[in-house]
Amino acid sequence: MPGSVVTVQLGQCGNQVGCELFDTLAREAAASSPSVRDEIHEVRARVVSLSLSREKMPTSLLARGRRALLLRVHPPRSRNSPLALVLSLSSTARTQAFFRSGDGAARPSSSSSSSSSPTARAVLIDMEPKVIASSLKRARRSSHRWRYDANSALAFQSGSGNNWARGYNTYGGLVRDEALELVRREAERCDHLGGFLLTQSLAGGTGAGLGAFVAEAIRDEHRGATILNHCVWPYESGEVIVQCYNTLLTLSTLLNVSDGVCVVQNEQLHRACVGALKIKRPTFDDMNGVAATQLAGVLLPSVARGVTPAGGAGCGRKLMLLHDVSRGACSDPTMRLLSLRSVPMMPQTSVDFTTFAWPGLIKRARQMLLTGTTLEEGLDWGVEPGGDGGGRVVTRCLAAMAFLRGKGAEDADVGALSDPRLFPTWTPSPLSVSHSGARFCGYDASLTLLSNCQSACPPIGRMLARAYQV
Amino acid sequence: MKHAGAYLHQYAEHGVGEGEFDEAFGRVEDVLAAYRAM
Repeated sequence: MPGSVVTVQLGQCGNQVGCELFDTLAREAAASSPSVRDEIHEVRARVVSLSLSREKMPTSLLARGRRALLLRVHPPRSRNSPLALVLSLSSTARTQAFFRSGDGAARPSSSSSSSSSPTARAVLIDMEPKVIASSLKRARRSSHRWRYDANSALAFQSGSGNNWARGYNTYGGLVRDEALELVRREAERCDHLGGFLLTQSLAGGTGAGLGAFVAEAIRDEHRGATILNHCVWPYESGEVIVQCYNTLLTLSTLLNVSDGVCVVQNEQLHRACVGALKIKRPTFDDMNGVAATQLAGVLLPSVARGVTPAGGAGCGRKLMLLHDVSRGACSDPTMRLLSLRSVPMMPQTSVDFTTFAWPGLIKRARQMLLTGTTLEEGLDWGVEPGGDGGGRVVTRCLAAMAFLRGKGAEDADVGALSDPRLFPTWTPSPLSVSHSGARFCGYDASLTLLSNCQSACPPIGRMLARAYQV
Repeated sequence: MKHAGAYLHQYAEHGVGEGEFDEAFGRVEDVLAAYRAM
């Protein structure tokens, strides 16, 4: 059974990215399956047969049917038609890694109209209550029917400013017990805990200092669990020196406690919005949307396949989050820097007029990997693997995971990504591939690449140089 | 680093001194070196 993931949203940026991620996961769960109509019929049939002949049902069906029945018998509000409820049940089944059903827990606060919506397996932490409040509100207003549990949020009435040390040491100590208690409670609600996903910014106040502290505390408390960090790298232009220090202090802490540290540059998110999505003046919401899409490309359900479609070890097995991600991309404990790439990326209005073909997508993703960019636009096609690049960057890759989604994902040829010249000779099986027939973001074919490669290094090198110069 | 005394003072007030900075920078440098050697 694929594990459930508890997401811990840290600070303003971490809360916004986390919120966007849940919204994306909920949206895709509702929209992605080509067989969603079949499933509605299936669940309906079960509900009907449950009410007819309860004794004859196998236990597992009975359990699922009973939940559906409960939903039908006790609709929270009349605006929810039985069809919508059944639909939500079937999509909940597909996203249970990230949402728990909202109908089970009899908490006093769950009597609102949204109490049956899937509830994010999330803990929200910030020093300022307004950030948490706006995440809760955003979820309540989402058209994709999910919510946060307000009891899983932790806010204090003061900012940690830009002082990493204050967030880490002073506030860290104050917050520790309460934060760990919320995380433990959320973890105990998982049938099978697959790990923790932490979202935060590397440079800012709360997400950086307090976030690093919380990451360490979670590692202390849950020694064997997989921890994956999603970190936003600050804009390099116009940044204050304190941001340099904060970034390096956070990064150093996370590299010590996390299984994988995914670094996502604000600069590149911004350029993806302008270039690929044609948004003239991207807001943080737009940029977080790109980050959430890349992350969801990894985290939505998928099934392992071989590098060659014919097969290989573990083929046909559902990907176990987050264990399989850590095993596939972060097998070396000294090298845990991850990068994300997603192709294609385009405005929703263009999707209907676009033809999607696997060879082109895979070629572009490979060239993005080679040239160390996360952007499709302005790709340098002159760079070859194994060459010296003629002064240009040639990125090498320790390991990579390719997530293929859409029509033909099962047997698309990913040979271009398994080119041995992309990887050092000593890595045993550097590329893992998984697939799902469900479309992602409305694309007939799409590819997300999670790589443990050198492309996270240049910004870190620049940051170090600046920190030493001052 | 040495010239940033004013800033470092703010960190030191909350228990992150030069030793912690050196350790953090050193760890990040080690990781970069591992990637560059690949």
